[in-house]
Amino acid sequence: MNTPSLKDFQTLFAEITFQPFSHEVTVFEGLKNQPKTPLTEAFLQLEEDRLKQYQWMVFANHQEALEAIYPYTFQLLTDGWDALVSAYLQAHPPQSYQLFDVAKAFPSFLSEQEVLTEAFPFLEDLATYEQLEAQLLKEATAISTAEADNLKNPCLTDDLETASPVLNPASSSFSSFYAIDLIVEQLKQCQEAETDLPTQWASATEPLILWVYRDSDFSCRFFKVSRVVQQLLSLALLLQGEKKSYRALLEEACSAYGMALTPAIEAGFQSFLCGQLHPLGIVLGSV
Amino acid sequence: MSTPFFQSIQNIPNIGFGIGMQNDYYEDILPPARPPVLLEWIELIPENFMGKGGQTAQNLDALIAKGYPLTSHGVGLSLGSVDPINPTYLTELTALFETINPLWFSDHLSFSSVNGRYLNDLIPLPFTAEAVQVCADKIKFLQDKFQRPFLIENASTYARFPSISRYTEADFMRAIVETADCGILLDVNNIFVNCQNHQENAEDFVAGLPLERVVEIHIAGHLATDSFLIDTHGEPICDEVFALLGAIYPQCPNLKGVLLERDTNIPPFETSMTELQQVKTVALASVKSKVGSKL
Repeated sequence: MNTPSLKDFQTLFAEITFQPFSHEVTVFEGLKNQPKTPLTEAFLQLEEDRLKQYQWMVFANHQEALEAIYPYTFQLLTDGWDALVSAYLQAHPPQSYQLFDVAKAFPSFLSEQEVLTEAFPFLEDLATYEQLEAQLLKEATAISTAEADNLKNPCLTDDLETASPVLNPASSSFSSFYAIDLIVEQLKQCQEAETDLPTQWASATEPLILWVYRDSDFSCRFFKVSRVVQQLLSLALLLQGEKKSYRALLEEACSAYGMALTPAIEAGFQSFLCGQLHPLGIVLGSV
Repeated sequence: MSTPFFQSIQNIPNIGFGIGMQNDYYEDILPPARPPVLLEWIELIPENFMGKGGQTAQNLDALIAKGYPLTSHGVGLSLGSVDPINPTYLTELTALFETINPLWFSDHLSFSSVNGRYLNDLIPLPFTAEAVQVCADKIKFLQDKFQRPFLIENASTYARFPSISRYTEADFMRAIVETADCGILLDVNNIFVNCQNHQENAEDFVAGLPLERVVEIHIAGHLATDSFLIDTHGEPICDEVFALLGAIYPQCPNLKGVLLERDTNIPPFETSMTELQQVKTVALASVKSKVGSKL
């Protein structure tokens, strides 16, 4: 008898394992329809619960990863979670050994689930926010100790013309038309009080703009910012290597919204920098 | 024996009894005021650290500063896959090894990806000549790249494929380690789980292995279901597995370390240390009784 190739064996094992997971459906169903070969026979000789165990293990690993990265989305969708994860894995077969990467397409997948988005219009944005937090928590970027030692306190100088900001590299902006910050708070309260989900969700009176960052205690925090400050911080992060001055960044940020940089805006920013951005560890210092 | 593998392990000291690192245990291990004296070395799962910063990186730096001997025990290499080793994985593993400098590194005799799709679990291999070659080629490459001993672990399995296999599990392992000239990480619990799950004999399995290549032993607990045993690493070690440890430990002349694994249902650190003390007692008593029986 010819020994089946290792590639054929592994391909078939993967096909069986990646069938939509269900406790009820047999994993042999697909196999029985295939032509009889030594390979298919080798699988059909097994007790079904042994293959099912592998199917469960593979499914459970990915399910747990999604639950860990998207805890509030999970809280919201607990009832249909298994089916949802199974459908996600069908639509986006895992292509990485890093489970975080496997889970990356989940927010956009959720946006395609019409029944869910009708019930929870903010679903994609909530998941995107959760993914951003998980990304920042594991982010490997950090400034070197030598660089940190050379930073100047931006509050001890008013030189916006020549000084450039050095941003916390584990930070990013987040925008939404939904009050994601308040919705997360509602979900937290439900979890702590072990109550049902709210029937009314917090709504936003204006677009939400957050700067999300990992602080020195390795917690993820967010801070509401104006669109100009969001633009400035995004530019500063993007152009970190170019060492653009605060004023140049402010000018670019203002012009992005058709505004001219005025002394009042400049003074307002400086006060915000010293009062919030620097003390919170969003702007680490100046060079 | 004087192959490059045996030469490479000559200078590695016996590092004694250790545990697999768990996030829950940093607060017990890192503070200088509470040195866990029983713990002699620590094994890291590289995938938990690769490419990660933040709290994970800070904990790792603090752990390295404690000076414990470290080893690396992977779960994502996909050694038996027909796919090549993922280049990003290799890059990240290289960077990690520059940081932790493990005495040796290991992964499972299984596959976890094929055709670019990742199952992200330890899937069994058929015991064929092609699988021997696929594994051995990768191991040779890895040992050459990282210039340190590589060990393969006997994986726990819930399925065997006798109709398409050409070796027993022990012969399969022997063929791989002798072709690749590498070591063995012998998981005692996995031997017990497999023998129960496939109605095989543990003594036969152990007798078929080149025990002089065993560098590390793993021991852990498992979960018994109605159908078979599952290697959960989440239960206390059972008496039968302790007995197997006692039988195997004195037979491994090049053994460098014994490790208690606990990956789910993590107990308090003190409980793990009590279990590690049990492991140490059983292992050391087995050597004494072997010496005694010779006399």
